[in-house]
Amino acid sequence: MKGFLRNPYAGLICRLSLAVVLLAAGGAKFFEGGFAAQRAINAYKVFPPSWAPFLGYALPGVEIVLGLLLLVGMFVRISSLITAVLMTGFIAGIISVWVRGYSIDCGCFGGGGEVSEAGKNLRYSKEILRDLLFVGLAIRLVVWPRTPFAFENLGKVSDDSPESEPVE
Amino acid sequence: MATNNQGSRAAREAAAAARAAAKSEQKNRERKIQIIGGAAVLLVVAVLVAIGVHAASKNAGGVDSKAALPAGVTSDTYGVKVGSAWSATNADSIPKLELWEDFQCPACKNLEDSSGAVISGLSKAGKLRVEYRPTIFLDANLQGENTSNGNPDSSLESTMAFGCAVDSGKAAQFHTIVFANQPAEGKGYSFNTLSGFAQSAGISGTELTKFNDCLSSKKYNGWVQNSYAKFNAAGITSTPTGILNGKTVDNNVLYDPKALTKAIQAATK
Repeated sequence: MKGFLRNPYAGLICRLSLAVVLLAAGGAKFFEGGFAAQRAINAYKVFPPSWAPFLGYALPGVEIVLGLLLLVGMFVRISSLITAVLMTGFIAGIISVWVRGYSIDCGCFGGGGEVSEAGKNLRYSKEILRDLLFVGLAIRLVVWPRTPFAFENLGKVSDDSPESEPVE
Repeated sequence: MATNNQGSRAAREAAAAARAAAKSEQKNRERKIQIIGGAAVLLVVAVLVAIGVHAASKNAGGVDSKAALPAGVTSDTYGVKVGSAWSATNADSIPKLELWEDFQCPACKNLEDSSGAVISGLSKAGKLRVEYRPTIFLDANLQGENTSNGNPDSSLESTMAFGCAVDSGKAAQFHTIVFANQPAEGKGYSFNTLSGFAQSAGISGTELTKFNDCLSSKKYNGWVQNSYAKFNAAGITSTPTGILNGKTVDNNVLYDPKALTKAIQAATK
């Protein structure tokens, strides 16, 4: 199991999957336009409404930057770490609305706002499980950040670190 | 064992120096890549900030200060104030009920069906200052369905029509008729439907021509967007939301005509 996790190509898959997820989620929200992202944030009732215009661009913006970094493979360890923290924050946000009894669309990939109560528990469970999976992928990359086809490998031709894997 | 001769020591030292040189070259290389990466990140951040600032300023508070406003609407709230209580000499002591609604929102129809009569009754009797605060957030949610039914942006269209009806002095009537005839969610409102509502509200003759021109020219698009911006700035995420004298009314009270009447009486100073 550990061998499989450490496999550099498993790392590559983690890195690219996370990149696609972050770019899709960040892009959808960033370019949604109008007030959609602000409304999605307001629906959580976590931050004061006056923060929403800023957060509505800042959160997806951060996701896009992290997604690009993971896509090209630059600063992989720190980007994965920030991604793990961000996703943990999203999970906390979903748990918090669940506990407080609101029924909202998480707005994870655009959309958002209040929705009907139907299927609420299943919806929240799915969202949390999905985000947990993303946290897992990110942690895998924090532990073993070296993957093939990463831009940062250009600066690391020699295998000076004991944990590094042979890279073609 | 420890019988090193000069030759092998020199070789070792040379090898160590070569390793150190390789290592420092390696460090330089790594730094170079990090600088390139860092510069690229800064560039991307700068582009995103520029796009964000541009988009945010485009709907900065959403407010187009030059937007035409329906009769009696002011730019502090962009709400539609109905009833004689607003112009009473003791207006400040009469309770104020603000209602955030989207004409496509089924829950708003439910509210109108249950408590609408009480609200308009108190308003007509001059005992309640009612302010309708339009929002159009459902347009984004219903875009697909609205469009496939041939009525895109139905919340916007119906709210613009509301503004035109305000000019004809039929705000309350038009408001009631829209909710009474609200179609299934997603079907939306066509121009002819809205014009029909205007006639049912008692708009006829030259007033009706004016109404139709007003609606087809999208005269109140800016006003609706401004009101929608207020909705977002207030952080309200669902409709209907009733605000009595500045305090959000619990939905259990809002939908219950008796409880609502009591709450309004209690708010009367």
